[in-house]
Amino acid sequence: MARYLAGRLAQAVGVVIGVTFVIYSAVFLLPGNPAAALDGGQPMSPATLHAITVAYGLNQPFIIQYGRYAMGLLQGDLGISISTGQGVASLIGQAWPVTATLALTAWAVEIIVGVGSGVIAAANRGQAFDRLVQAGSVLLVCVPVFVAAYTSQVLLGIRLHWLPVAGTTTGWPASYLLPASVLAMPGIGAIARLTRATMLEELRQDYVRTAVAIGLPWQLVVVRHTLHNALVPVITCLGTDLGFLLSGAVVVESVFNLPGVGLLAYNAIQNKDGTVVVGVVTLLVLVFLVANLLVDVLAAALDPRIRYR
Amino acid sequence: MKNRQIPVVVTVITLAAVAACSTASSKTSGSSPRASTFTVAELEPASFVPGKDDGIAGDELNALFAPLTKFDAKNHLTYVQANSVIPNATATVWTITIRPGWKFQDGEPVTAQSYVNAWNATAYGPNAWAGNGDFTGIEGYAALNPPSGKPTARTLSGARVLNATTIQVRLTHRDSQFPQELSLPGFLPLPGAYFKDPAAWEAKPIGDGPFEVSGAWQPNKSLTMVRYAAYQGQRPTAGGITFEIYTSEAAAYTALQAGQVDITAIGPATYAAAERDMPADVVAYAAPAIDYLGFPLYNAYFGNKLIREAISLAIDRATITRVLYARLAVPASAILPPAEDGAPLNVCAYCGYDPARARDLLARAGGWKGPLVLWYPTGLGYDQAAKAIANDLSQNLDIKVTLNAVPVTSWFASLAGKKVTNGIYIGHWGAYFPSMQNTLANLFKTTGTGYVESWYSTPALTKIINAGDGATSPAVAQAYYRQAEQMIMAAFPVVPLYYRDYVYVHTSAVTNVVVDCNQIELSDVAVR
Repeated sequence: MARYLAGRLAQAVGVVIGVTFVIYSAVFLLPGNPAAALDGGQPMSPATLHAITVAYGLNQPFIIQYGRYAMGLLQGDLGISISTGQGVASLIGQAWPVTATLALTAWAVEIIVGVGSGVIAAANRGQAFDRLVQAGSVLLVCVPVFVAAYTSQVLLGIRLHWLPVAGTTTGWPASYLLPASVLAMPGIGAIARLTRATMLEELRQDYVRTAVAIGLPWQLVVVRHTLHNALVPVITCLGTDLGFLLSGAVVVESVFNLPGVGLLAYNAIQNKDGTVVVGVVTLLVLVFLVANLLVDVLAAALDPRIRYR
Repeated sequence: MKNRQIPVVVTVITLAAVAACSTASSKTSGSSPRASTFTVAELEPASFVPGKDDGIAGDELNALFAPLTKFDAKNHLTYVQANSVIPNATATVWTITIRPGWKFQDGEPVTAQSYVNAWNATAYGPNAWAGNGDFTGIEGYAALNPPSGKPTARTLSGARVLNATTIQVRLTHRDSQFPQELSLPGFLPLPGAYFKDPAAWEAKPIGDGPFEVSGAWQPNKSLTMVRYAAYQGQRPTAGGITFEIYTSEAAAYTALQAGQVDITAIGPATYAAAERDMPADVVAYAAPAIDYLGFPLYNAYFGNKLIREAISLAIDRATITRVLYARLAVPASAILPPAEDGAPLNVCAYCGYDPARARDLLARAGGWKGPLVLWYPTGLGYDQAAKAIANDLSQNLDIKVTLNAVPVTSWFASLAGKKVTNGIYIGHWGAYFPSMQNTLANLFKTTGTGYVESWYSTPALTKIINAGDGATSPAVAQAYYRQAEQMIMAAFPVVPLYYRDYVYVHTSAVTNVVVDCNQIELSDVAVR
């Protein structure tokens, strides 16, 4: 297991170095000069443009620019954002907690509502609640995120004044409940259906019939025996989903004015702000790698048949 | 199997807990008592250093600093920190005296040196501050901004401190509009505290204006200010302001509807909704800004004036401003916006809507073969307007029009590089201060930063604009600028489209929201 983990981590280092190069060259190839976008819709005086271009080394050839960036990176310096003049590390430091809070809240909603309703639906197969879950999950997966976002804002924020519609000033959980629920919606649908399906399959197994036959209470059979075995594919799905949630959600972040990494990356690409794009994307790759690793380890813990060497 | 229902109960309890949690938190949002402070939505600024401002932090800077001069709501120049701004006979040497006794919010007196220190830092090329271009007209600028190599000086030779309250500025050219130019953020002062520790200053900015920062700047979140008790200028009505950072005007508008924000700027996409939802609370300022169509005049075909006239007459400006801008834009009848002091109206002979005459003019010019490409920059809200203009042209002139959206990062380079050869483009000039000179000198002099957006300038025109710059009386200067406009409209190098307003909305929690070329008049806002 330890050797397996070390191997996976060594892979991650290689992936990260490769990613910085690929992303940096991709941003470099985008047309335009990031300094030119600084003055909004107005052209900048040539002297100012020149001063900024020189200050950020934008007139250097690609390989020199990347070399300087890579050298800085090795010393832990993520560079400076051209469009804001702030350090990339501090920009990510501001955006990351927002995205992490949003993602983890959404993830918790997915687990509680998704797994919960899936299990209950399976345990009550064919009854009203089961049908509700089946229909509801399709609806949740189908509704576009921005439709759900605006509708929930108008209903719960503007009409009823229950929850704030924008920003993080009210703090957790109030500021995050609405966006997290909207963000979790497709996940809830998928997780509920998956949980229900795997639960139904497990409930048909012989050991369940035996457990019921020897007189164990039904909820004990469902929760302790069946759920445990049915969770392996659900955990895999939840793990991938966490990576996806943590990578930032541009639509939800912008509608609810949450300054997270999704928006940071989106704006940086718009402004051709290379150092920010590379910093954010590399971080996201790391998050995905770690999330996947966690999923694999967790799957092994749940299912003794899975072993890594 | 009776017990099968139990898990349902568990879930219901969980959901009830979540719901309870949300109702409990709702008490903290919504309308909490906020004393006499109000909230303004802003985009995230790069910095609060005036010289670094790229046009985003305008409201915050107006709250934090007192300018030398300032335009009032009627676009007339007034003096704030300046006592007098007096030219010599040729308008090349200006003597600025400032009012004594004003203090920065850390107690340091505001002196002539506070101004010159800030100007030197902004004008110093290697600092790469966004306001650098404000100082091109001052003597010694070239030494601080050599085309290559290191600057030979650290300070502007043309900005001299004569005594604690007097600055003498020497310009490279005559400029009658220098007092107007002093209203730009680049000309604000900086306290010694900034130069001692820039990072600490950025974390908690110190200015000399009507409001001072309370608490620290929270990037991407908010900046809170309270009334500065020792301020010597107009005393603000409200006790304080919280600037909350929004990532888009659309998000800010939603927050305003929910009562989280009191004042926000809105974009054209929200105009119609705001006029419908809260018509009484929409505040618009007819800005000194013009949208126009530009032509590749270096291309012989577009050098033909008949073509430009035909295109101009084929555009239904009234419908575009009504439908796309909810009447918060005015069809143009001149290239100079009426907000600019003394600007004439109705000097455009071809700004009406006359499709028949347009077709006739196009035929006389030899027609147009192949698709006409309409170029415009992305991300600045032109997409709808570009579609509407393309539609008008293709229907009224019976030609095929295609759109070419260019990323804003390469837009001006495309124009400067003469990449537009097969069509026309959407141009825009928002004057930095409401003087006719700003639009004329920038768009129609070869030295102007917007010259690549018009490609039109003649020696005779430059001579007239320069004559206006050299006049020491405002009335004489304006007369020259009006003459320049007549010359431009006669040559018709660009097609004026419309003047767009600055549009804000506010909640009923605040009153007396005045918007002018300084954006929001924050000191006037009253909290109900």
